[in-house]
Amino acid sequence: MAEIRTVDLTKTFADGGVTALDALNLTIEDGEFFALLGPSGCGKTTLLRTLAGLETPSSGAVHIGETDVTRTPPGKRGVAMVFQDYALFPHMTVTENIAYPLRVRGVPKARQREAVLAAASELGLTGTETTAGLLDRRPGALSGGQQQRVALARATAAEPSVFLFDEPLSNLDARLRLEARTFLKRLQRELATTTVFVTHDQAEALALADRIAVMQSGRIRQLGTPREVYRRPANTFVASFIGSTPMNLLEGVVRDGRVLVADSEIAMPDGTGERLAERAEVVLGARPEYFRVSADPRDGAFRGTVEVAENLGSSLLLTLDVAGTAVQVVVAEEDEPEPQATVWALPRKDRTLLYADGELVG
Amino acid sequence: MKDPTVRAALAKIGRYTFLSVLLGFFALPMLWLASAPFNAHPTLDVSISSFTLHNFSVLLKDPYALPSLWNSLLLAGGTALLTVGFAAAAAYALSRVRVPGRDGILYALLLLSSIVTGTAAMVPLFQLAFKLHLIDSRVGVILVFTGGLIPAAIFILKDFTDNTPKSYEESARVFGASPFQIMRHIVLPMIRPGLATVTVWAVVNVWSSFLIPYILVRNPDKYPASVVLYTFYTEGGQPNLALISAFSLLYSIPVIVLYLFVSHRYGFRFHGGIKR
Amino acid sequence: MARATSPRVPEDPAGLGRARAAGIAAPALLVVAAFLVFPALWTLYLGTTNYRLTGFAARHPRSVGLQNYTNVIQDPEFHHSLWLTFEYVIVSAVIGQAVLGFTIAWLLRDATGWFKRLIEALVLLAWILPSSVVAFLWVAMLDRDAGTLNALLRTPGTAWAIEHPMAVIIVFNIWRGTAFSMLLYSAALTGVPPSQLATARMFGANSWQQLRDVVFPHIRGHILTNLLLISLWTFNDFTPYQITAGGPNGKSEILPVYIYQTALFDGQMGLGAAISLLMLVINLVVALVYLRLLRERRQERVAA
Repeated sequence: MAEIRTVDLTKTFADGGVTALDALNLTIEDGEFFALLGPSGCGKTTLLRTLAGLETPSSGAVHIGETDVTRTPPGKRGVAMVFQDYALFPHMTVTENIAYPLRVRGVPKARQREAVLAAASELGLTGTETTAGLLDRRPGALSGGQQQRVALARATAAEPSVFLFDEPLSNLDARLRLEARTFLKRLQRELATTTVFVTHDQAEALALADRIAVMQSGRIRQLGTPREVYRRPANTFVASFIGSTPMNLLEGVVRDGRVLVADSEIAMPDGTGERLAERAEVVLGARPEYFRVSADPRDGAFRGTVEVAENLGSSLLLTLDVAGTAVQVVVAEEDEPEPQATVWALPRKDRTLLYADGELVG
Repeated sequence: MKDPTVRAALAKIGRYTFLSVLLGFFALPMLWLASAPFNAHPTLDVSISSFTLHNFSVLLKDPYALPSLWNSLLLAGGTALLTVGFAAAAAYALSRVRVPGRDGILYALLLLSSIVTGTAAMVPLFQLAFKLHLIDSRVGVILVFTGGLIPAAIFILKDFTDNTPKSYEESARVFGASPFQIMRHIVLPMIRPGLATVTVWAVVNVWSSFLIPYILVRNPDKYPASVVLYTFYTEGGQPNLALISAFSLLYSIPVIVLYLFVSHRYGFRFHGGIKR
Repeated sequence: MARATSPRVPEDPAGLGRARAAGIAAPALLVVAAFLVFPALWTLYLGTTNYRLTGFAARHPRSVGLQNYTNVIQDPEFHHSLWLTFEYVIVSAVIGQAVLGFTIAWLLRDATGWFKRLIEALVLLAWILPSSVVAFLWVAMLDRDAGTLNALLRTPGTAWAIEHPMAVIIVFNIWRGTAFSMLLYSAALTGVPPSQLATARMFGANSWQQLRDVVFPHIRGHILTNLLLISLWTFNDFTPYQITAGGPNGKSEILPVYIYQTALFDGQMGLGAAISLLMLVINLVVALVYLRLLRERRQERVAA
């Protein structure tokens, strides 16, 4: 159990002079389930590998607990890493795989066996009919879900202070992924070990993490709890990245205390009025889920015609044509409008965001 | 009339006919090896006038025949061991640490190795072995073979080491394994098909090789089988077909057995790509 | 504003470091340096001397500069041998072994069972049996009086090795070496996506078109590697000597045999060494051509 701290952590790769990490300062609390989220190439994997010791920083420092581990080799940092492909050694049995960290340390066989059984039981790899004999099988004979658990068991057997997971769920198929997500969250809570995981899937980050760092081009664009990142994304990049349905980001202009967007006058959220001058150019952000849609005219609402309706199960995603601009709103299944109907979509004032020069106002 | 099923059937018949002819083509020369050793009065044709095992007992009495098989075994085994060991280590090192022009150097070495196995290199090899006191020495022959085989062995093995996913090694490294532990626990087991291939290929090469032992070994007690077989049909006027046929058979069996064993266990592949 | 990175391929995952890597590669490199590079270079040096196996020049070899080379290049016997060697390589290896090896791999690609195993076993056996044995088997088979070939073809009294020496060694080499190509193409064919073949078939492509449009583009790299290796091996192959001894009258005197005759029979080691260098240069040119083609193909793939 340890806190992780980076100080001005920078990593440039020699060929092409690419800056993968740009003077990052980050503190991950002891016992936290922390997500590194971002599109590919943003540096999240490089950061994870630097924490593991597989990459050496160009400048800056990494601290785990009280110790400065910047120059410490990977095997001696007290971290355990699970790779995206699990890296289960194909020529060893499940038992031998799980025991590997202990074998490397020279732990006596009897103790190895105990630790393996404990880890396997923790991860649900023993004790049921489906798992009979699993410990003696080779990884090739296991299902995807089982492989993932063996990889986790191996990491727990190492008794590290920190877990590092690289895209832990991306190799599982959709159905399994949801189950595994719940399992992983519960496991981390039980073990209470500081865990850092990398993902490009924002839903996964929101569901699992205590806090998320959204990264882009080697920088952290926002650091916060899932709620903070979802409700109040700090900039348009985070706003467009987070959320299963993309947030509406519409260009507008401040006029007479309102925002003129696509020929509609929308009320300004509290706390923004005093910060924005008349005629300031802004981007209005409103999530499709936070609209009230009605067939009757509303003041401060978007007036548009229904172009496309996508069925999401218990709700519908409507794409409205508002004076030539596309605005997406989500309505409940019973409120399905007629195609090409004219509707008024009123964004919730307490969930509407304004961005000036890409940054959140207010 | 171009009924597709008829066409498919004809194609199938054509295929099998062709393959059967091919079967005959490959089998034909080998028939002698299966018949002559057991023939009381062996001739060059494939027939058995009367079945006998007498030829083999004649062979046993020859003072150089069986010991030469043992020599061949030592040479082949020793060379295979050194070649695989050194080449695997080198292939791994060259795979993991970037060496500019690695492939170019390997190609150059491959080309050079074709000189060393040719006749014109005989004298330099002889003189080198002489200076190092390695004439008539099995170690000397083994070293010469190894030198010639290593470039191609590295070439074959690097394909395997290039294709092992690096995440396995990184994973072990984060668990605290030292580079040597990683090589031993992870890398070598994963390239076993490659190791098996190189072993068989080295053994087969050495087993067959005539020229190099012929130059470097003077003492008939140390002749490997390839040289002894040569003496059987060049010494004296008429070639002794009884000895030649029986010896050829015995001489061939070990490599066949080795190949069967390895291909059964590991599969015989020249190209990497680990099946997961 | 920092640029985004691309996903990196990690180097040195085990943390070897340069020093240790050099250390573990050292035994191989030392053996190669001592027993391969050194004698090879020495041989090349010999090519500039008049060294002979016996006689005065054996004791006191003299440097003759490039004279050996000029002699060789002008020697019609060398040209003849060179021409024969090209014929040998192109017909028996580039065409024979590769085409036959591919054909077998292709025909057997979906097969299972004893027939497939039998064919593969025989083809491989031809490759694995020791060369001295194999040479003698062919001598026996081709014998004019008792040989099985004459018995099979009902052509008694034909001395194949004397009447058709080149044809004999060409067919011999095809017989001997097809196994390698077969193995290589077999493995290469498993990498061709069956979905692409199925798509082609559904669009009505016949077998030949499938081969041309789906299979060959996929395995082009393998074809080049295969052709390179078997060309080089065949170029340097000495075994035909044990069947035809380069005769009759040099009709099958391919370069390795020519070198043997020059260096050992005639004892002209210096000359023999010079020819060896020329052979090496030719090998090098061939290899470079192949590599160039291979690299073009790699770039084509990356750009796509």
